[in-house]
Amino acid sequence: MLLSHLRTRGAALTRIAGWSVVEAGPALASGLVIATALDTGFLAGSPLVGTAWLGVLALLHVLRGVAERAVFPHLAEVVESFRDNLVTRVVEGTIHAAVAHRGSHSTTADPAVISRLTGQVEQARGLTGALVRTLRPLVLTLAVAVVGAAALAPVMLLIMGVPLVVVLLVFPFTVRALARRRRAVVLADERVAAETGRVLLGRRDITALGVEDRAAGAVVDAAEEHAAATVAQGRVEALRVLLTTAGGYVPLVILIGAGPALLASATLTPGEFVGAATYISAHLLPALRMITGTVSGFWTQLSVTLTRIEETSQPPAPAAPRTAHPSSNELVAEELSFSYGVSAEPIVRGLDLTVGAGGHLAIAGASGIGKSTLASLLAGVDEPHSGRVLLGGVPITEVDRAEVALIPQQAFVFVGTLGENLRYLSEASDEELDRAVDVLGARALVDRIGGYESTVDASALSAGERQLIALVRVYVSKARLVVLDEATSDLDAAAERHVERSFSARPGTLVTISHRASPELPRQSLTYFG
Amino acid sequence: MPLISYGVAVAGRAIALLASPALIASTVDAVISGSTRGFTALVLVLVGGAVCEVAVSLLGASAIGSRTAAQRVRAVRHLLALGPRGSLSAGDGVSRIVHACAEAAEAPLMIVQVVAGAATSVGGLVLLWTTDWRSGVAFVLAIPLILFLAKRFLGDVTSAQGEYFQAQSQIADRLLNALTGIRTIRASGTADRETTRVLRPLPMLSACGRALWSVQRGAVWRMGLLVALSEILVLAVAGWGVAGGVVSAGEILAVVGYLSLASAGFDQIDSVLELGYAKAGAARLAEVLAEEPPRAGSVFSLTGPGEVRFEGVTLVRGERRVLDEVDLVVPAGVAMAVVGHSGSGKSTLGETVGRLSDPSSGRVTVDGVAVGELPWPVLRRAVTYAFAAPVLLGDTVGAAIGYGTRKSNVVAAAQDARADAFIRRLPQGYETPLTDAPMSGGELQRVGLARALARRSRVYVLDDAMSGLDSMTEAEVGEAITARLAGRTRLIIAHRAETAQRCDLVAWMDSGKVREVGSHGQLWSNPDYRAVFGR
Repeated sequence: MLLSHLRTRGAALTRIAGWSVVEAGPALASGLVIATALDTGFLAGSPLVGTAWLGVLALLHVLRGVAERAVFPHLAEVVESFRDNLVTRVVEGTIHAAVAHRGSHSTTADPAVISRLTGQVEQARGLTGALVRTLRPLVLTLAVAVVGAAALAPVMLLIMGVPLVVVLLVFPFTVRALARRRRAVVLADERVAAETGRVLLGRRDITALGVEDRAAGAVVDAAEEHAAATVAQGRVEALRVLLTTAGGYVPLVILIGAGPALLASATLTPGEFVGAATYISAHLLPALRMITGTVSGFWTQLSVTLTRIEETSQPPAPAAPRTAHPSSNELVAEELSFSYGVSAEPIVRGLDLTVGAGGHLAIAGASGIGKSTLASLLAGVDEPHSGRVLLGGVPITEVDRAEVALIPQQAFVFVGTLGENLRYLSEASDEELDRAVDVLGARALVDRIGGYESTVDASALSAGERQLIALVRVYVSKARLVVLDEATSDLDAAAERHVERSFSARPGTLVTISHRASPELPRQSLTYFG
Repeated sequence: MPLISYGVAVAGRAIALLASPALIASTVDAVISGSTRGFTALVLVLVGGAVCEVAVSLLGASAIGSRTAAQRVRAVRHLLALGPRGSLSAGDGVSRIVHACAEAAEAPLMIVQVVAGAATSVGGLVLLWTTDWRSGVAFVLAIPLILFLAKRFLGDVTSAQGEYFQAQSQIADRLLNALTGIRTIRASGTADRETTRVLRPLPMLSACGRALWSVQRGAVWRMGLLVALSEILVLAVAGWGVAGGVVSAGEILAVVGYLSLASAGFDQIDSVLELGYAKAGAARLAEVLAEEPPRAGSVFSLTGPGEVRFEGVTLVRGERRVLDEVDLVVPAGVAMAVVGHSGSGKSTLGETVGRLSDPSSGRVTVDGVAVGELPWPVLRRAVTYAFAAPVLLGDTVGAAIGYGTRKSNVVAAAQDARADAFIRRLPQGYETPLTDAPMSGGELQRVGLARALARRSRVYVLDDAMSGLDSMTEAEVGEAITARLAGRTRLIIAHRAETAQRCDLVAWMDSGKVREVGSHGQLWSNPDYRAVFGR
């Protein structure tokens, strides 16, 4: 995921790479400069020459500062646009997955998604940022320290290179073990989020039942599991730290241990000896320690986090376009059957019905016998296992969504202005909205909210008020088939009857579904026994 | 305890770091002059440093693990104590428990690290000074400027970070909100539009993120350059020392080593940044804990038949008087319906009995004792609720009905709520996990009713708890409830005339006030009353 993102940011990456070379200048030169400054300057009794050499180093540092400053916006571009992509992906994946989840009438939001959105994405951002900021100069430092030392004396290639190669060979194994542990921590964290979400969504019921302690228990268990996973991860981490710290110290110990021999054989001058030690202690050691420690930790975490985001938020599968515009409003169901599973009892079996254009079909029946499923089938939201639904002779699943509207019992009011909520399905003018609001008796509600430009806080509205908003929204839409699935259940009886009458008078075909029948309206009715 | 041993390990690591440059220098000087004096000591210090390094990872993990768990437990208990009154949305609450707690738990460890880093830097400076005081003086000249920059930096990050979190929470809340309307979205085919709407705060998030980078940028490059130039200055001074014979060649290494330790203090921008994160996290956690949970009283005994009284109960939400000076007596053992237009305050009235909401003024009593005087367990035993949209708790359907009661007849309660039959049709009956038991609104309500009926209380508040049932089922359930709860006080918030008719008394509410109390038959002659039911 990261790689494919990086590919789209080629220009920024090229600039980063270019500036990075400039940034590595001081690391490459430092040992050489110190050796030369000592051998030809300070140790040779001409300190001015030594100082001049240090001046060269200062110049390189100024260049490095300029490079560092210049590289930041490019790093920000890479990291922040990556984070934007991840957020988009999680949101898109979550919504589409929820939409594709067949047959769910009542929805409970999966709170783990919050952990993904705010936790994992944030972690990926932090880690990517840390990686591009630290890994980049470190890798260069590591390389140039070896190159610089080898330039002083080829034997340094052996002293520094061999332990380095050993560490880099063993290293991947510890990284893999760490990735497994890390994954366990991430999964435990998701469980904490899921349990917390369940508990918080049920706060009212928990308080009403007085079961705070027991409800908190699930979160406590998850939190403790997370703590245990964190400790287990720490153990693997410690092992790796041991390996890499030791690996970093070995070249230094070898150089100093072999020092007398190297100096005696004139392989190194005293200045070069100090310069070589500088490369090891000031550059190789810290860089190696950071790469194998911090940076590899970042890397493991990042790969685990990205895998998790990838697993849980698949991009949506393209849906077949619905573009048909039927010429009449007649609704026909033929031999309709539907069941939830292969072996489950069918919820709808062999249903035939016809509702004339502009007609009103009222479906009533006991609770929980599949009325909502029937609503979804008639509105073309679910596809039947056999049989078909036609609107004006066109299969309902091919009809443009704007032609059909379904209002479920749980009305959807979103964070936004009242106008945005009411214009969700159409681009109605204020006058059209006004008319619908008056017709449906929502004027008091609109006034209380403060007009169309005011922001709606769904949680401050009662269930009935939310239903009113959804009803106005559909009333002003261009839908020629409206399905009200218990859409007025939270209104008081007077308001409910008024709404039904208004929708009956609205042009188009109407299907209302409820568990009770109000008898007086002229319409076609169906008592539904499942 | 883990925090202390962590501190000890961090200190050990710092000591090894401080000891090694001097040892390296003296050993290198010895090597140049042809001996290996000090070599063993150097190896020992390096090994000791490695051991401390390992201990730091082990102890750090265990401290972070246990502290995070402790913070989370504390926060979730607090949020549950606040209950439905808590001002945090569920999404925000989850994000705080998952992230703010972890960040807050790491804060002391980070402080230890930053302090150890600072101590190492100061130690490096002191040792630089003792190695070659001229180099020390040169370095000290650069410090005030660097400190000034570091201080300015921290403040900026905290505020930028706060804005970033805010934008993030907005997206999270929009997403949770969209998920509650998923059936509408599905039916309207507006998934893509919803995605766009949820992502509307993204540019703000992105801008805040980039702002954080630019805050860092200014500090990072300036400090990097400043630190490097001061190092070179020091090296030059040391070089002149070598030329003058006051500094040995090996000591140049010590100077380089201590310089890098001393300047590492200013290089710790990332840990300062993380401290900013931790600070913001701790602040977000503190916000959660700052909200006072409602206090319970200490009147342990409640005797009487279960009479409920509302005395001048007023409840203001925002600027709206949801309840306005309500005076109402619910005689013991009576079933009282509460009816009225949507938004007339019926549900809120019910909430005040079990303190799901507290009145702004006035009081509610059960058997003469104000509900605020009762300890929580007593109040919860005294008042039981059933809701229109219950949230089921527990693992299985059966457990959800008996949730929180020690001894209860789950099956009998389910039978009375007419939930027994459909529960038995579930794959594993009462043992079916809730996640595998798809329920319609009406079924959910009946399980919620069963949960209420399984509990023995003085007072039952049924808040529109049968709205999703068909008339016939409702009549059956209504009769069963009347039989089962005979002699117990019931407050039944309802929309249907039939429900009101079955009750002994009806309280008719209008705009937050009780308009009239009487039997359904008496009230029915009033056309305004009939209008409530659309008749």
